[in-house]
Amino acid sequence: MPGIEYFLNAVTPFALLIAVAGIVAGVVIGALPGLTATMAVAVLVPFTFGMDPGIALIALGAIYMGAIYGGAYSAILLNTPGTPSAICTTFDGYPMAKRGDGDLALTLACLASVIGGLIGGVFLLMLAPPLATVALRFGPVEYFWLALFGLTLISSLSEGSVVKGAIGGCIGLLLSTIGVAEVGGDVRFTGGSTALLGGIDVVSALIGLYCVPVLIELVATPTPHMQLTGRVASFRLVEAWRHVRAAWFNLTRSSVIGTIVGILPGAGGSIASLVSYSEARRASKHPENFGKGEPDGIIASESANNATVGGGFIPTLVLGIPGTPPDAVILGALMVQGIRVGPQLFTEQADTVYTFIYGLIIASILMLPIGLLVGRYAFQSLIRVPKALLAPSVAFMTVLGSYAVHNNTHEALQMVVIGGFAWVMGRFGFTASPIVLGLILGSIAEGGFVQGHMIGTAKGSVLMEFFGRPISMVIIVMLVLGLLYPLLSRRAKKKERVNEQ
Amino acid sequence: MSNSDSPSRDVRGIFASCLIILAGGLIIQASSSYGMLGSVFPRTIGVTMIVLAVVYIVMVSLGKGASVAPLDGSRWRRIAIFCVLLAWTLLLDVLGFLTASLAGYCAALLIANFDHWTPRRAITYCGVGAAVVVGLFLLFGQVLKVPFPTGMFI
Repeated sequence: MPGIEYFLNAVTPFALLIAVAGIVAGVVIGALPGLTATMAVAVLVPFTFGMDPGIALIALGAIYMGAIYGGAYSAILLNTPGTPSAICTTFDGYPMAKRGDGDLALTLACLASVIGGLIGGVFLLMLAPPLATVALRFGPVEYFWLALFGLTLISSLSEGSVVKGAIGGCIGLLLSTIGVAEVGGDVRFTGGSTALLGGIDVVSALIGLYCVPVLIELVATPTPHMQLTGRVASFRLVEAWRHVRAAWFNLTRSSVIGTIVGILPGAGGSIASLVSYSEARRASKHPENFGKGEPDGIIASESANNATVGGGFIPTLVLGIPGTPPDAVILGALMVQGIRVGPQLFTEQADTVYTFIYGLIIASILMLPIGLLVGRYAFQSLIRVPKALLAPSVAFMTVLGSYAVHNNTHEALQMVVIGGFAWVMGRFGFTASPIVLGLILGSIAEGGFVQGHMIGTAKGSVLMEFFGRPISMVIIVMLVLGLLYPLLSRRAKKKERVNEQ
Repeated sequence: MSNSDSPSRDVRGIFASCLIILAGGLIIQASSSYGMLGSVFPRTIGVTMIVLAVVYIVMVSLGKGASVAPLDGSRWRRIAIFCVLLAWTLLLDVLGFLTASLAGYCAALLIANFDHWTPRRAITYCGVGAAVVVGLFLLFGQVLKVPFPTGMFI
């Protein structure tokens, strides 16, 4: 177990203040339908540039966690998930709000989120260091296969067409090749522009990919961003605690599922909550109550989506491969801070990484009072903000954020152009997440491939270099399983349907 | 996608796939001018894009495509907000960050507002907008020491 000194770093008054501010900001943005946790992190990233890396990570982790929980507010009270990961919370949260138990549903969501976040954080603390030791044995070839594995998962798990997801991944990979090549030094796809010599800035691109399409849709309709139908009188902590205690197995199972799904590159809170919800329903003695206001449904969904936060940080910090889309933004922010993620992070910058992990666990605990008190009042104030003011404020934050990454106006322009491109691609059925993953993993995949090729050529067998190493073989097997997953799951569903008939 | 498109006939998807095949071809052509180490990865991506796009066209012709639901709402507002963002970022160096942002904010406000404009609403919204822009500009400029571009104004 890492030392107490890191824990003490995470409980300094400033670190606690940053964690509180991060949770509040995250809850507020996450509560707004259409504004995802990824967007919350992307918009608020520039505020962390001037901070110490450990504190910046705590801020980003707290924002992420707060946003995931904030999504439950609109899910329960408006029947509109604030973030995609709160989709399953609407199934039982809204029926509870309609029957006058909105405050109980919100309290349950808060408790489940806190416990889910804590379990995810503890897994991060326990699993990340041993995994980092294993990852130290990774060579360029293993990183190449791992990057491909990440890409196959996003394709397999993306909504809509798998082929479109894979094409999106290729577009992201292509974007990552723009600029001067790391190996060989070729100037690629810049169109003669000197502004593109350094390549596409990851953070600006992510802000564009995730925020601009949302903004374009926000101004398109007069429908208010919020219309409250439920009632929020107070919170019912004792009653909610009784429910949570009775559902301890569901809570633990959902949190573990959330952590594992978070670890898988590309899979996020929405998949975690869907899997946990269906598991909770399948295992329940009263599955017929699910969808009609069953507290167990909220507990499963909210604990799982918050557990993905800790789980998602495991591959992000250990391998530099984002576990969830917000992790991709955080990864970009770490690059700006000059932190090289990877197994060496746990030895070379142990103070930063462990301060952050303890900070994340503390942020989970702080979410209980903040989620119950500030979240509720912030949400009620937010309802009164007109959409006409919200949209330009978000637009300003995106411009400011993308500029402040490197104090470069070209990157703000890049953000808008890439965002417009993402919106157009969205109209053709190509979602942003595969593009993002391609963009992030592109340099890892290319570097690994080219270096592996060179080593293989020097050894006399390129094939053996790529296919003959034990760790590579394990990753290749996982990659094949990831590719076959949609086919297998479709077959299983078909079989289930036939059995039911 | 038009409303008449059936879920299995993703016409837009076919169109996008054709563009991707074209883009893949251009990438392969452009890669030929790079060295071996610099060209192998983009060329592989180009080939993969072409193969995947052809696979998608075949899938759609077999009735297995995934189409996109039609959009509700105003088309001109969507185009306008994008143009505003584009002009906003292009004018950052010309007008100065604060001036371009105040102008961009006002333009975005006009696009996003669906309610009837009254003097009170105009003053309130402009006041809040100015507070948001100037407040964050000062926070980043003075506290976080971010150097902003100064063009004709600030």
